[in-house]
Amino acid sequence: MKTKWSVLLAVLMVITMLVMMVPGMALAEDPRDLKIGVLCPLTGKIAAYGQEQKNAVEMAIEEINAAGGILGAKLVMQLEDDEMKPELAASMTQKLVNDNVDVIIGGMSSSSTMAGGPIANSKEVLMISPWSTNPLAAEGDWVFRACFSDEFQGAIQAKYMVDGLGCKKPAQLLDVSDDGSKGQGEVVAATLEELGVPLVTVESYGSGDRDFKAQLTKIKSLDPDCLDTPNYYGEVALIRVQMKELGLDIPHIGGDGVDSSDFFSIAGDAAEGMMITTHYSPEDPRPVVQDFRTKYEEKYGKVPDSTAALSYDAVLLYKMAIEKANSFNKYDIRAALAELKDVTTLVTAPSFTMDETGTGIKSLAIVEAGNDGAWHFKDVVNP
Amino acid sequence: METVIGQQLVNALQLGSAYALLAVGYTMVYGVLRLINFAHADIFMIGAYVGFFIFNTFGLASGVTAFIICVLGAMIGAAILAVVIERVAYRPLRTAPRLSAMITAIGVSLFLEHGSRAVPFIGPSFRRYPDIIAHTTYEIGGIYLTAAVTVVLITSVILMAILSYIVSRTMVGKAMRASSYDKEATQLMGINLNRIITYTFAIGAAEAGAAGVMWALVYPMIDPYMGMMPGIKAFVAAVVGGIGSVPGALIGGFILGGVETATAAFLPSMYRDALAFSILAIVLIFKPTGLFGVGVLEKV
Repeated sequence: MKTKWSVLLAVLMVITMLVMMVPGMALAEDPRDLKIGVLCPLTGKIAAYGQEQKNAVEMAIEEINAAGGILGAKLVMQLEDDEMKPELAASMTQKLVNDNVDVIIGGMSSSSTMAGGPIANSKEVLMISPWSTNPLAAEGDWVFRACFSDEFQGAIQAKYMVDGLGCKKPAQLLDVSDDGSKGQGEVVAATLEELGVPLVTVESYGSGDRDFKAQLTKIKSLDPDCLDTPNYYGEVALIRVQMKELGLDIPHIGGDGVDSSDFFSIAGDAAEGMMITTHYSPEDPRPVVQDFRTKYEEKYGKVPDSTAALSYDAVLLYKMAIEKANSFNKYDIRAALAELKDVTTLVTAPSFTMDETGTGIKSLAIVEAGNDGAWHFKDVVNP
Repeated sequence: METVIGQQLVNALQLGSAYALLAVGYTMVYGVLRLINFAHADIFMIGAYVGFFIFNTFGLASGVTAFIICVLGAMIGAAILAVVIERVAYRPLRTAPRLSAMITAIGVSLFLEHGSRAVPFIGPSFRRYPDIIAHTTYEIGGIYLTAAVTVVLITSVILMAILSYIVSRTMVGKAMRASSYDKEATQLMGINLNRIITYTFAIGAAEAGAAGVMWALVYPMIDPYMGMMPGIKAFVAAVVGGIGSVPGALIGGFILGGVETATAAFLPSMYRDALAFSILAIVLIFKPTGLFGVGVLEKV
């Protein structure tokens, strides 16, 4: 009797699972629609960026559809949450590929793109990551990105630390469990070495750590004159708070992972003075930036950060590629995207050229945290 | 150099006291029920959120009064939650194989994490924890302390003292120790085992709830998964101290905080967790029952 019940239960569970999978398959679609898959960390460690990505892609799609679509085809969005976990990014990319999306806008973090990219490559599905800067994140013919790579960003940041801030004894505190942070950190370290100003120490921690006081105390005892933290906003905000608590008051610079308004809400009054190298500044006076910013603020009630601008640009790049190819054939679109040159209509850069690896050649912005909870434009560096 | 060591000592105490408060809950429940309560780390998280909501809802002014209110609220909230969990999820499985109870504990843990992620008033994103106590920094002889850390350290000591008193000096504590020694015999002596188990869960959870508020106060960023790492580390602390032993858990917590800080301070911090846990593994090789654990005698 007992085994019978177990069998029945098991069968029921299988049926429930199958039933739950059906709605996804049963959606009727207009065959001419272009399906935009979005691989998005809507929850988890960088949920703030996921939300920006979702907003920006949604806004881009609405605008394009309102203007008649791309070559007459309407865009529809399919969003999957990868929680910034590589294993989920892989399975969600697989899901988007199985659902026959025409392009994947994502992943956000380098670790997600590096997990999903090989799947997109093997199935020949176009993937445009807005924000994955790890040098290895655009591997393969089908993975592109709307951003520059860490090699460029790290080199510029290191030069800025030496020339702009006059660092003689820089130190680094690095999240070693994340590809994006590690990639950036290593390039900064290597460039500093080349410039003859090597790091006095590289301290590290793992994702999920909240206590950095041991590392910061050690850093402080080495008396550096500048600290680099190429990590994400949540942890950098806590590092900033704990630096203040330990009386470690030196110039502090980070990468684009800190470019979020959530950095200010977590760091509070410790935020002021932090500098970052990032993709764009909403204070950039170019009309295309101000136009984008106004529309975004009206729609979502907040200033768009870099991830929003890059996600918006990623959709625009896809549109440009189709229009340039004048075809919906995926091989033509891919070829057109790979050859984009001197694009001047993007939000994040006055000029954009796709290099041979599928990475953007474009400018970089340096911004500083003010005491008003916003990043302020400091400098722009061209490649 | 002295100031650096002094500062690291303060850092170690701060980390250790949080692990110690959390470890107590693991050890108490294990002592009585032989159950590893995986949901304990999530009760810690819920405690932090209870403090968060009390502070924001009542618009309290930062200070010691607000801190006491939030900590007490979190302790009560956490205790109630733990008692409900015990009643609903663990009690029906009391006579089931231990593996079933353990799987249930993992289930409860996942339910609390993902459940709180799904409800809109908690949500998945990081939140800034309010400054229940201001993060004013002051310096004593080169060592930096904040008001929050000081209050947290003092409160931890008070809570540990109260706990030790309950366990070693009261009838409830005596009954707890008795049931961890021999459950059947305890019942024969006329002790209501269900009530003792409820007390055990409530007391352990109250400490975790308080620890949650204090942890969030010192590391002011909360999210539904905030309990995972501290939970694992506190569990290890409980094992090193000798699971089942309350003083062992307290000391284990401080040992873990100290080892973690020391490895980060004097060795490349990349190896922090690896080295910290290797040292703990070595302790267990030489003393498998933990520092203060007593080997369980097989009763024939």
